[in-house]
This record gives sequence, structure tokens and C-alpha cells, in this order.
Amino acid sequence: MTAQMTRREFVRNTAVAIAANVAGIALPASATNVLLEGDLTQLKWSKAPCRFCGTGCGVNVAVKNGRVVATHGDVHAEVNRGLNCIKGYFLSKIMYGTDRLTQPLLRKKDGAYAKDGDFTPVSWDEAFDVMAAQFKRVLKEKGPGSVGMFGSGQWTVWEGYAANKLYKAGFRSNNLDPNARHCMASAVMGFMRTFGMDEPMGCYDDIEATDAFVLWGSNMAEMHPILWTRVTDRRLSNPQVKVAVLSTFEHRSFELADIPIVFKPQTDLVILNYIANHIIKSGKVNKDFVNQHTTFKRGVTDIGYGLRPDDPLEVNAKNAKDPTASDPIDFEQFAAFVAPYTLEKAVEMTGVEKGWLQQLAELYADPKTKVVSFWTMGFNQHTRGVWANNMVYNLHLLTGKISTPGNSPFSLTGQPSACGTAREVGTFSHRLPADMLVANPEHRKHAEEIWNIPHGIIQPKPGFHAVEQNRKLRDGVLNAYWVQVNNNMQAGANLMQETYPGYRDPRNFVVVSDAYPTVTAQAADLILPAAMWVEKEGAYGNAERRTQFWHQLVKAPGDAKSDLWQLMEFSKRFTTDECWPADILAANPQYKGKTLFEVLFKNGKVDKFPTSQIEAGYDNDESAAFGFYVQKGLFEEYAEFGRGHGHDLAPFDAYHQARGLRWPVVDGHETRWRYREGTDPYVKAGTGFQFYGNKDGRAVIWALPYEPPAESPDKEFDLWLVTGRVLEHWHSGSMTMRVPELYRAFPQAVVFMNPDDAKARGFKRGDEVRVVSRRGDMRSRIETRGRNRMPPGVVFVPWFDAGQLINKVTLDATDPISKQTDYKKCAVKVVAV
Amino acid sequence: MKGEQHISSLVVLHRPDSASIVRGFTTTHESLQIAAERDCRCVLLCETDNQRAIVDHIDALSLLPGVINVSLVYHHVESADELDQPAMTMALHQETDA
Repeated sequence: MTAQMTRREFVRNTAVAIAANVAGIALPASATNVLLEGDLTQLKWSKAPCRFCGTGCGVNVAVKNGRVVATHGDVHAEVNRGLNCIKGYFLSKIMYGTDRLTQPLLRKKDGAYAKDGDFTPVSWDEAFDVMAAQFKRVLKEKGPGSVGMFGSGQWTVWEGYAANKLYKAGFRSNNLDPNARHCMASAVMGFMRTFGMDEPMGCYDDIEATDAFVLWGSNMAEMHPILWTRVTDRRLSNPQVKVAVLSTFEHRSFELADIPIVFKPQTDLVILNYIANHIIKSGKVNKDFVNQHTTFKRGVTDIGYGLRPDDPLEVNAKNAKDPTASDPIDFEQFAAFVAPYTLEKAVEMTGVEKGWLQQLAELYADPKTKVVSFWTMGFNQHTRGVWANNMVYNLHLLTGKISTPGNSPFSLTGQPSACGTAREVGTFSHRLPADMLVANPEHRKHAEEIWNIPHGIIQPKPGFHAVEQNRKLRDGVLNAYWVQVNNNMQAGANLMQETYPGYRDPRNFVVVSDAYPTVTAQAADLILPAAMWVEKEGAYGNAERRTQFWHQLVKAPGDAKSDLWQLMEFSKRFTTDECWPADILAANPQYKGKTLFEVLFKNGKVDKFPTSQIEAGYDNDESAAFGFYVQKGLFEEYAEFGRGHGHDLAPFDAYHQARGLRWPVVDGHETRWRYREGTDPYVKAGTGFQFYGNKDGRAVIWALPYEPPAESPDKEFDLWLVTGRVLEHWHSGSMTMRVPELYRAFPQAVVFMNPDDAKARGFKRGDEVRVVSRRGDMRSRIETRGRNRMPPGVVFVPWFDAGQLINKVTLDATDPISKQTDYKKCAVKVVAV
Repeated sequence: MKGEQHISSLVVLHRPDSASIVRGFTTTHESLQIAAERDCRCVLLCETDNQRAIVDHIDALSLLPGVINVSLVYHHVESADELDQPAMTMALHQETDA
């Protein structure tokens, strides 16, 4: 340092030096005098993962006077290496929206709860008294099948785990599902059907090792911008690397595409089978790999569209009742199955030029080209989403391009802990932690032993999944319902017919915990104010199996409390006698008369760690409230499920030190590539590869066909509607719409339309229009330019805007196997207002 | 904060033949300067008197032909008066904001 320099010069140097370091550009020595964060600024910096998508970027969070004042990309975080996307950059502002909820609000009339009352501030005691009375009424009158919860891939690991225990063990209800059902369920079932085990085998390190990227229904440029930076860097720095981008319309990721492919909706299934056929016909099958490490199955077809059972599409579907059934086949039968998917047929069905399809197929077929396949909602929100996942694995398995650096079929995730919480903790209505199932008696028994509760408590029947929860609310079957960390009134499909009526049905009591008054909160009977992100100690698990922790850095405003505190505190109001069968209690009298809090959380395990073990200098409001280190106890109990079973997590304290660790973490070492000898400790020596999720150690190659979507354009409803997201806003916008810079960048949803389609209908850019389907309509404005370029016949509407609810229009058709909604395909017309 | 100054840095990834387009953009925007560059990337130093201008620059840069990605890496804000003080004698009360 030299005393002559001004502070401005130092700050400039700092800004440039950090960016150059991130970009890998060397600087002259004169430019390396820099300010160190925290040196001169009275800020306390701590690490945390970003609050938004599933990428799992590390951020440094600066706190001053009890308030988060700055966030920077963490240069020590392997995921983002100091970079931050625009949402991450404004992270600190999401907590300081002017309409933050700070006290419970109950609908009241004449001083008492009333379904048609007005929201009135109440104490936590009153809120929980009314809520407990409603839950007890429903439990008594109708049993555990009529209480439920809709949770989230934004829950921290311990919040999801506590909810899982409270519902599946405490209330004995499996009607617990996460909003990850809307984004990841098809990926989950795809993994389970092919590998017998959830989550990717590879990791982000594949990006720097590969020769080709194929984006199947993923707009990474906007939805995963930091990973896209790494992809871009790889492509631009290595001219031999190729990028193929597939979508039903052109978006920002096409700017990097060497192979741009816009296909007709649903025909991705045709392309996948064409590539499999091409690999076989051109003699490029990796026969050794296929013979040693795979088996073949043919799945049943005509499986319906996950609509209500009385819908004609379900009644007429041959295998709607058992969509997962299959028969074993051999390689020759598989080859014969995909043989009709010729190049000519693919061109005809997809509308894609022959040359692009051939180039794409060769990326997979050429044994010298390493391939990473990425996908998100284009695959997963698909009435054949599980099939699409299975079919892309087919390509990697036929060629042996898997589990090695640069060869990776990789399902990207949209929420920060869709993997860590929704999937690994098993908050789905059919699951228990570590990939276990409620329907499996051995799994239930194992969970009951870890939870230290009597056998027979966990119910064997899967509960209501997300879409079914809305239907059962509407039908008056599900009557006491708690929503945490999601905005399903805005996110659920077909909201006028299937979502709103259930919330406002007088038979039902609906509770919503949120930080902001979302449209879902406003449709509730009781709103509970939630603490968010660094207002509590947390843990998330990202898309590459990386578990990341953070400390509580600031206090939540007013009376807002974390979801974890809410779940545990609420459990104190119930006794086992109110929730568990008399015969089980008679056989296990030591549980009789205890509160659910005592049997679930003060069980000698969760309350094992004293508050003195909390790292000095950090608050922990939940632990202060309950008198033990709540997060550590829950995590260590949860980790019992996975340790020794391929899901090993490190000891709790290790995660507060590391920038995340990718499971399985065995003997202190994380695992970057699963299923391969030498990189995965679970693979036996001499096997090469072992897909140990399946008992025979082999992955399954699936013979599955193209089948049409649930609804296609016709004469009246003549356009495809695709919904999705934009860079500036995260999901329903409940956080990002409160950041002025992000709001201003994209304030309102629009209808992206092909200019010729607009002209033919007499619309100009900016005209107000109605988007109409058989289910409802919404108003928006025409956009013919900008980031998305639509082909004729397809319109795109983002769903972040609570003022323009596109889910009034969408169809609640789901993948019959995963129960995930297809938000990418329904028929609409666009008409003048 | 009155008279606030925002000093930030951006990493721009672009196709190799688009370097001149990025350079051209910075010459017409005096709040931007290229601080370092290499083949398909450059570091831009951005000095503005309000935060929205940074977002506007990011948006405009993203739309340039051949620009694939723009990332904001560092951001610092404090008053112009304080920034012009000698670095070694700074009082300890400046703001960093996000």
C-alpha cells in the first residue's frame, strides 16, 4: 500500500482484481493493491448458500448493526467461484420488502375465527390455539387422512425433516408433499426407475471436462446463469466443444448454440428414440458396458395423463391404474423397438431439419466425444416426464458415457434444497428419508426404530400428492391443511377449477406460513409470519449432492418465526392419545399421555446436543427457545438414515466449516462421481461400474415410445401455451418482485408471440389481450421481440406475476408415474380484450 | 446516502470476434472501462452515481451481439467525499451496500 493512493483507487483495484481473479485473467502487479473485505468496513462477513435456485452458489453475507447489508459471490465456493447472478446479487434485499409479515393474522368476525372473517392480528398463542382446535376436530371426526401439508424444496433440511416426523409419525398422515413435486418429481422417478437410487451420479466438475453440452428443455442462460457462465467459458475457451440447445422456442441459451433445435411440443420423445436408434444402427453401442452394467425393460404404454380418475382421458387409458409396470426384454428387442424412429420419421414428427438431428445424434454416438446432458422443466414438467428422463439415460448407458468426468446425464434443479430437503429427507407423500418408501414394511420399521417410536405408527399407504391435495381440498376430503414456503395458489395448474375452491371451502381450515402476503397467504384462514434465509440456521442440498450450511446471521422482524420453530412448537399442543391408536399405546404404555413434542423432538436423540455447542458469535433462536441445539440434533438423527447406505453425510460441525460437501461423504471424503470404481467408495473393486441402487448392480435401459400430449391445439384453441420463468424473477416472484431493481427489470408478465401470429390476429406489440383456455383466461400484453423468439403456433407466458395468473389457464394434467404437472403444453387462444 | 458513488466490476463473456463490439460499447459509455481482457472475456470497471445504472449497463451489455453472459462480481458504495480521502487515513464509517 502507498499512502498517496486515494480510497477510490483502492476500491477500483479491489473491484478489478476480484473480477479478474474470477475470470482467470492475470493483472499487472500495480493493480493488485486491494482492500480486504471487512478490513476497514466494520462488517461481519459469513458464508451462506444463495436462497434461490438449485445451483447452490456460495455467497458472502455482510451484516452491520443486525441487518444484512451486502452479499458477494464467494471466491472460495467451488460452485460459483466468486460469481453471482443478478438475483443473487440482490439477495440481501429480499428480506426487507415493506410488506414483510411480522405477526400472525387470523380471519375473525365478532372476535372469533370465521371463514368469512377479516385478517386480524393475533398472538402466536391464539393462532396455535385455533389451529390446534381445527386440526384436532378433523383428526377426531375424520382421522389422519384428512390432515395434510404442502411443503417445499426451500425448506431447510431440518425443517423438512421435522415436518416429515410431525406428519408421518405424529399425526400419522402421509398427506405431506413438497412443491418439488411441481419441479423434480419426474427426475426422481426417472432416477429410481433407471438406477434404483435418486440424484445425479456426476457433478458440476463435468462442465470443465466435457466436449459437448446438450440442453434438453433447459434455458440455463436465464434459470441457471452461474452454471451457464461455466458452460460458456468452457465453450468459448475450447473451440472443439459443441453446445446443442433443444426447446420448443428460441430463448437466450440459443445464443451459444452450435446445434439449435426447436421441435414441436412433446416430440422430444421422438428425438430421444431416434438418437438411440442412430447409436445402434451406426454400430456405436459400447457393447462391453451394456453387457456388463445394464439390463433392458419395456414399460407399459397408454398410461393416461394423471387427470381426475373420471376424466375420459383416464377412463380410456389402458394402463392408467398401473403406469409403472414393465417386462424384461433384451438388447435385440430394444433395438427393434426403437428401429421405427428413423431420421425421416424424426424430421417429419419434430419439424427439425435433418442436419441438426444428425449432428445431435453424433454427439452421443461418437465414442470420442464426452457428453453432458442437462435438463430441467422441459423434461420434468411433461406428461411423459419420467419416460423422457429414462430415455436420456438410455443414450448415456448405450454408449457408456456416464459416471466419468465429462460424461454426465445431469438433472438440474430449480429450488435451493429440492435435492437436500424434498428428496433426500423424503418429504414426498410416498417417501421416507434416504430413498425409502412408506409402502415398504421394512423401510417403515427402520424409520420407526430411528425415530424411537412404536412399530405400526407410520401408515403404509402413500398420501395425497401435490395435485391430488388440491383436488381433495376441493372435494372436502382434506380439511386441515398447512402450507409452508411455497405459493401454490399461483403455482398450481388450473387454479380457478382446482386450487381456489378448496382453499375457500368452509369445510377446510387452511394455514399458510410465509414471509410475504402471497396470493396463497391471502387465500388462507390463518397466516403465520415466517423467518427467512439467514434469519435462522439452515442447510440446503444442491443439484450435485452438495450439502451446505449457514448460521443465523440476523434476527427475524417482529414476531416472525422460522418454520422449524412453528412445527416444533405446534407439536406441543397434541398428545399421543389424540393422534395414535389406542391399541398401539396400550402395547407401548411409555408413550401414553406424552406430547408429540416429547416423542418426536425431546426423544433423547434430537435433544442430545446442548446449546453450548453452537458456534460462538451466532444467534440460534430455535435452540434458545427449546433449550437444546435443535438443528444439530435433528441433522444427526436424520443422518442415521443414510450413513452406511450410500447417502452418507459428514458430521454436523464439518458443514459449518466446508463450502459444502457432496454425499456420500465417507471417511471425510466427498464423492464426485458415483457408481464408478475408484471414485465411489461403494463400488466394489474389480467391477468397474456398479449401479448399486438396483440389487443386480445394473442400470435399466427402457423401451418407451412417443405418446401424444393430453391436449393439443385445435381449430378453436389454436396455439400451444408454454409457461416458465425469466432471469430476474425466481418462481412466483414473492421475493424478487420486492427488489426494486428486479421488479423494474421485468415488472409484468407478457405473452411472447411469433410476429406473424400476432399480425394474423391483428395485434401489435404491447396490445392488451386475453389468453383463453377451456379452463379460464387471463389478461396480458403481446411481446413479439426480446429474449424469447417464438415459432408460429406457440406462445410463452412467464408465471412470476401475481397480477397475471397464467395458471388460471393451464391444465392440471400430470405425468401418471411422477404426478408432476405438465406446465409446458396446453391449448389456448389469444384474443383481443 | 448523498453524493453516493458506486464502484463495481463486471465479467463479460463474449464470442472471440465480438471483442470490438464490447470495446465500442464502453467507449460510448464513460462510466464503463475495460480493466482487463483476454480472448473471449473481459473485466469492466463500472463507476456510477446510482445502483440502477449498473443494472441498466448489465441489461444493455447482455443484448450486444456475441455477448453470452454478464456477471456482476464486486460492488461498493460510499460517498464521493470519502472515496477521495487518502486510503491509509480513512475513518471507519463507510458503507458497503448490495
